Amino acid sequence: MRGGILGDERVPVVVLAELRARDRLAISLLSAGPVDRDGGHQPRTTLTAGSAIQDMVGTVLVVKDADLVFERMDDTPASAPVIEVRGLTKRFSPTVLAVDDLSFTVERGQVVGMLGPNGAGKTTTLRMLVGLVRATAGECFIFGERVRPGLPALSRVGTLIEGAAFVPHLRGITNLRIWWESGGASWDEAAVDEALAVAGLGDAIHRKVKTYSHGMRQRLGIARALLARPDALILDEPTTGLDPQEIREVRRLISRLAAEGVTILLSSHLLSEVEQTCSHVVVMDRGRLVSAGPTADLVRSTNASVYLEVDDHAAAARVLASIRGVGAIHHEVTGLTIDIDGVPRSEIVAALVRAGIGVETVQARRQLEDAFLGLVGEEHTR
Amino acid sequence: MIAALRSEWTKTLRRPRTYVALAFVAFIPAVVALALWLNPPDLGDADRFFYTATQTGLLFPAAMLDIMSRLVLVVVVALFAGDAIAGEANTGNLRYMLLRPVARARLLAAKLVITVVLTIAAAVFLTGTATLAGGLAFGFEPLELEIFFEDQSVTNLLGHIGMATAYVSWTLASVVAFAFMISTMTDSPAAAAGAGVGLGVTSQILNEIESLGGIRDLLPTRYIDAWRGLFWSNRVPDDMWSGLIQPIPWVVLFLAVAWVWFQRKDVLA
Repeated sequence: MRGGILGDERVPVVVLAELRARDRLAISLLSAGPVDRDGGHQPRTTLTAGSAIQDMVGTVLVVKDADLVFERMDDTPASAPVIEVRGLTKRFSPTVLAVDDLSFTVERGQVVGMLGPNGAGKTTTLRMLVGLVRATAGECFIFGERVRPGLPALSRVGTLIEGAAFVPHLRGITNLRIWWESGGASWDEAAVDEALAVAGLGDAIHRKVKTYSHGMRQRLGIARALLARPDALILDEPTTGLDPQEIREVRRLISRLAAEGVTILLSSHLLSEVEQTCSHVVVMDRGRLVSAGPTADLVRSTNASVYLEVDDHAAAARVLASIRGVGAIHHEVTGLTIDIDGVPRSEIVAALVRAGIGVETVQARRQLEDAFLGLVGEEHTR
Repeated sequence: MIAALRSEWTKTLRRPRTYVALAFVAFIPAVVALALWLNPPDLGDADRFFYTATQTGLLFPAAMLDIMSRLVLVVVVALFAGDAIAGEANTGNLRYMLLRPVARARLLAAKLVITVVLTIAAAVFLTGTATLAGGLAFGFEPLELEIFFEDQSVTNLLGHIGMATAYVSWTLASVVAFAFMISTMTDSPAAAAGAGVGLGVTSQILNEIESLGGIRDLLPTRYIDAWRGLFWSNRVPDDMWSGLIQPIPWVVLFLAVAWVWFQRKDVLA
C-alpha cells in the first residue's frame, strides 16, 4: 500500500490493512459497487467516488466488486527526512546567540524529543523550523523543502508553539474555523470531528475562548494542530499547564498518532515525558547540540541506577557488592538503590535469587534524567 | 488574500470593541444635538458652526466634524490601526495565523483593508449620526444665512457632508498608516495606537506655530481642517486639493516600512 500508484485494477475483494492518512491516498470508485468499512467499533460506511482515505484511518477496509484507482498524492520522496536542520544559527544581538550551529534530522515515523534546560534555544529552533524566525545562518528543511514564511508544506505540519493562543472574543469552534479558512482551505476538508474529539471540550467548544482555562486552551491548540491531518507535528512543551489526567491523555494521543505514522518533534523539559513517548532524543544546551540519537542509546550510554525492594536488605547489599559493575549502594526506607555500569538488570536479579533473597520490585530509576544531567552538566563545567 | 480577508472580517464583526468604538463615535453627536435642542445657543455666545447648526440641522455634521476630527477621530482610528498586527501579537495568535500557508504580505494586506474600512466607518458613523440627529433636532433645511455663509441647497449640503466625510477619512490616512506601521513592530496595541495619536497631535501642535513657515507644509495633518471651506464658500477650497496630495508620501513611506518590516520580522510573540 505504501509504495505508490497501484493504478487501475479490477479487484473483487481487497483488504487494505494499516491505512494511514498520511499516505494521502484517494480512492475513486469507477463503478459504483458497495464498499464496506469494517473498523470494529466503526459503523459500516458506503464510500462514494472521490472519498478520501483519510476518513478510514486505523480501520481495515474491505472492498468488494469495485474498480479502484489509488493515487499517491503525497509525492515527497520517501527518502527525504521530514525535518532537517543544518548548521542552524540564530543571533538576536551581538551578545545573544540563541542557537549555535545546530544540526539534526527527524526521519519519517520518528518521535523525537527535544530536551534542554530553559534558555537552551529549543523554542527559537522550533520557530525557525516553521518560518516564524529567520535564521542568521544555516538552513532548515521540511519535507525536503527549504523553510520560508508561508511555505505550502507548512500546512502539512501541525504546530503548537509556546502555548496555544486564540482570538479571545471568538468561540472555540469559530477560532478553529477562521484559522483554517484563512489559508484558503474549505472547512469541509478539515478533520473537524477528530480534532474536536481530541479537544474533548464538549459544549464548551461553543463558548468564547476567553472563558477557557489554560488546559482547555492547550487542548484546543492541539486540536487545531490536527485539523490538517498533518504528516508531522511540532509540539513545544505540549503538556505545560495540563493536569495529570490531561497529560496522560496527551501522551496517549502522541503515541496513537505516532502509531498512525505521524512524525513528531516535541520539546520538553519533562524528562519522563520524553522517555515515555519519544523514540529519539535531541539534547540542546545554550544553543548547541549536545547529543542526538535513539532514546535507548542515550540511556544505555550512561550509568543507570536501579531501585530494588528485597526481603533482606543487609544480605542483598552483600551479594550486590560482589557483582562486577555494581557501584554505590544506597539504602532507602523501603529498598535499595544501586548504580550499575553495563550489568543487565536480569543478571542482578538472578544473583540475588541464587543467594536466596526474595526480590519484590526492580525499577529503573531516573535513567534519562541522569543521562541528561550528565550531558548538560559536562557542558556547563567546560 | 480573499480567504485571509474573510477570516479577518469575521474577527472584526464579532468583536465587541468594534461596536463600542463606533457607538462612541455616534453617541457624541446624538448627545450634543440633544443638548443644543434643549438649550439653543444665542448668536453671541456660540461657535458659528454650532449657532448655524441650530438654524439647519444639515450644518450640524460640520460642527461635529470640527470638534471631533482633530482628536476623537484620531484616537479612534489610531486604536483600530494600532491593533491590527500588535493586537494579534499581544494574544500570541499572530504566530498561529502565520502558520497557515498565507504569505505575510497577504496577511498584512488583509489587515490593512480591515483598518481602512474601520477608519471610513468611524467617519461615516460620526457624520451619519450627526446628520440624522441634527436634522431631527433642527430640521433638514437649506442654508440661508448670508451673515456667515453662502446659501446652500439641501442637496448641496448633503453632498458637502459626504465630501467632508471622505476628506476627513483621508486626512487621517497618515495617522492610520503610522499606527499601522508601529503595529508591525511592537507586541503592544496600546503603544502602536499611542504612536498614531502622538503623530496626529504633534503634527497639529506644530501646525499652530506659524513661524515654522514652509516646514508646516510637510506636516502630515497640515490640511486636516481644509474641508471647512465647503460650508463657508459653497465651492471646493484649494487647500482641499493640497490636502488630497500632501499626505501621499507619508502614507506610502509608512506602509512601505510596515511591509518591509513585517516581511523580515522575527515573530517572537
